[in-house]
Amino acid sequence: MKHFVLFVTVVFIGLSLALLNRTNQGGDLAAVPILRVFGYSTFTGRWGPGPLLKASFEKNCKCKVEFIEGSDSGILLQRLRIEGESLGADLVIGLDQFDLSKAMSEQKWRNLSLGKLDTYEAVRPAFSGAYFVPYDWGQLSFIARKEGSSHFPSKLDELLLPEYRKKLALQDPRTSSTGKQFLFWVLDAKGEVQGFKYIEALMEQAHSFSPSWSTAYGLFTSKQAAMTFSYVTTPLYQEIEEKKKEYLSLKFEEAMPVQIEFMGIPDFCRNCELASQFVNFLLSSEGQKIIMEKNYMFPVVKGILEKSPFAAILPAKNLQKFKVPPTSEVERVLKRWTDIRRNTLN
Amino acid sequence: MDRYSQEYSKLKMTTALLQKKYNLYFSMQEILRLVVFLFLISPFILLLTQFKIHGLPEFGDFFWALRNSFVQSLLSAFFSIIIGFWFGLGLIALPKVRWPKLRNVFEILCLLPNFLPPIFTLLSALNIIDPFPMGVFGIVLIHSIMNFGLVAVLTAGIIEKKAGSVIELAFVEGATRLHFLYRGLLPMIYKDIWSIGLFVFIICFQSFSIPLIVGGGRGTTLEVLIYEKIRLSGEWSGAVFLSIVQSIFIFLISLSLRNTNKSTEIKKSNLQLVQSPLALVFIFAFFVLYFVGYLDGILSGIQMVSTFYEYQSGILWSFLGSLAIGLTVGSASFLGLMAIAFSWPKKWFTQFLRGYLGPSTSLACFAFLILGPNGGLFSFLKISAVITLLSLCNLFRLGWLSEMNNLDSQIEVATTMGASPRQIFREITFPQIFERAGILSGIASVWACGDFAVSRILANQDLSLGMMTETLMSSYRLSQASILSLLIIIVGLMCYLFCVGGSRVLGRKFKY
Repeated sequence: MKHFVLFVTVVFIGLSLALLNRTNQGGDLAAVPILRVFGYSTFTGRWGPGPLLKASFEKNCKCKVEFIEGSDSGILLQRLRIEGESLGADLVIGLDQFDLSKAMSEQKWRNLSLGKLDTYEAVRPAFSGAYFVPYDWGQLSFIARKEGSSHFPSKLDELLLPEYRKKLALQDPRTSSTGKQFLFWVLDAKGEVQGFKYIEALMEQAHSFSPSWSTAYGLFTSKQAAMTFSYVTTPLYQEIEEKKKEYLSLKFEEAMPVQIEFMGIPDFCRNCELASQFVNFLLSSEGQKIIMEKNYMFPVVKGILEKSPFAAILPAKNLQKFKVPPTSEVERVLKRWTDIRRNTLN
Repeated sequence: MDRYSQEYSKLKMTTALLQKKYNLYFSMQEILRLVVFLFLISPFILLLTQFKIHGLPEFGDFFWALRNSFVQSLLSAFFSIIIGFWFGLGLIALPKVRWPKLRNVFEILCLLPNFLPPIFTLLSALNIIDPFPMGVFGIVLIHSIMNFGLVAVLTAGIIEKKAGSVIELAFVEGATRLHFLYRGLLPMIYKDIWSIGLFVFIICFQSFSIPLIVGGGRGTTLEVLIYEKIRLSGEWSGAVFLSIVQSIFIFLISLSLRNTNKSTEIKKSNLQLVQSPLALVFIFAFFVLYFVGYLDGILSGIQMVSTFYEYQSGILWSFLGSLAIGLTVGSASFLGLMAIAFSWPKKWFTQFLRGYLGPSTSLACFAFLILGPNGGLFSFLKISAVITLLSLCNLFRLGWLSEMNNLDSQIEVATTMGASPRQIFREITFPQIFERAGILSGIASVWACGDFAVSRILANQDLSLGMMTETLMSSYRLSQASILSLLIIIVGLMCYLFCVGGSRVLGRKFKY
């Protein structure tokens, strides 16, 4: 009996030590300051830009960078609200324009001081805020397969054609940022009254409203749906990483939606100066290049993507203007969408 | 007697007097009962201290979700019972007494979709069924696939144990198959079938990931609505309210569950009258399709396997993380089941465990997030605690209740004859239940290995293979995610074997 208990204890202690060691990799952490960056998992995770940014920044900062992962921007805000200072975040990364108003009302943020930057026109207005600064951006559109169709929709109304009935893998705007982008795109393009009528008609065209971008994209790649709403860089990812050239992003007559991702330093930061340095590093050529190549988003600073495959797909015109919708407005629109979905699909 | 001994005996006497006067005496059984009870309802306690319920959630949404939850659970239970019953007739074509190994293989096959994390069934179904019907019908389809195997195994066992000799007699008397099924078998086992149906209904009612993904926005259930309330506008009070209503609803339904007749040993009987070899062929064909659908995703992932090279250390750490979480959940579940067994029987406690649904996944996670520090070892402990909490009620309904019911009369006799609870546990209960406890805690550890929903909220970084798989899926890499899911099976199997083996070693060490 003693041997068995000893064996189980050794197994558990071993595994716990291994896990502890993993979180404390790098030796004596007390000797150097730790910059804690709170971001969504695809940014901070192994396949995202996080690890490379960390390695590069640590070379010069005499500090350690530690990532705290939240699954997406919705969870980031929830955890910030619930845990607040105890979360220990010095920098929050991964909020988009729909989160800013809420983030401002729920937390206090520090003023950011940035150097002079030569930025793209599409994101320039987003630099006007004092508390949040954009670090990348993407244009969204419908992604389709090249094979099997010679004609693709080029305006929103064409998505209502019978041939696309139950063929569109969309995202739920309440839980997915891309879903929110699509909903506000429609309302911007058509006006609120016509926009909601359109959404009502579109319910029949939707294959599904997935809780996240990844689920909708998964349904599309497994050929359950003919089109999905995603980033225009999606086909580029497939071409570079998976050597597949079967997808294309569609061009629409309506001004296309743009998602801008922001970072900000919460007022309760402990290593605020380091956080500010990291913000500037992310906006440097090196940081922007890593973000572009690993996050498959466009850099906000000019002079990075030239001579890269991203240059060919950089959208220059026909883009929506940047604005930060107030939280009450976002909630009102989402409530309306919920009612339509319930009544139409019921 | 020295001064300390005098003080001690004085204190002991005062305590005894107080206990007698105010009836404050708590036995070990009562304390354990209370600990299990408080642990299971802890998320509600934690959340109610933080958020007051002010105002009711919108009733339009609530009734819509309640209706969807009810309809999908009812249909899922119905189809699981119908198909499971037929598959059960297939399983009895392989009598345990004659072909025990082959029967075991088929039973494991049947149970796999229920015990593997839902993501496997989803990947498989999406690969095979094209176009996949999203909405309530899709939810019912996946739930049925996940549950009819379990129904088949349970039904086959019941038929063999309860109706074996009657079937033999009816066969000799010349009864027709249909006539016997309708007039003989069903009236004999309808209470058991009702219990199994209710069990499946409850599992489906509290299912979260399937309605979230397959519902496609068309089949929002109460569990999904709770998740949406939290995600949409941080409506905590609404979410807590919905979760309590859901728990009460299930609790009321569970009141219709009655103890079924005690099962007996399986005797060798001729079951030719009801057995269905054709169903056996269908079971085999179904599982070939199930695995082909899953392997289809794996094959496309193999082409991308070279991309894992630079992440091998990360994969190793995640493997160890999954192992640690799986083993902790397995051990904690084993202890939880033993605590229930030690404090058995007590009417209110039994009824509570039978009917308590547990909080919704997202609510339980956020409740533990509020509790104390996060990160490092705390995240790991909190993840294990939440998964154990969510699993324990299901494990109870999955087999622990019937196991304990079978011991009721023995415990009653031993209590009447003056045996202490500790003696009853050591000499009667434990020797008969440790193997089943090992299997059930093994199942909980398999669930834990594949988890990403709980970990994603509570962890500060990718701790396990489940989380890593989810990260891959969120960053275009679906094929690589399929490959990692293979590792989840391996680590799940290791945890399962550890729990089953560990319980056997414990049994042997206690010399039973």
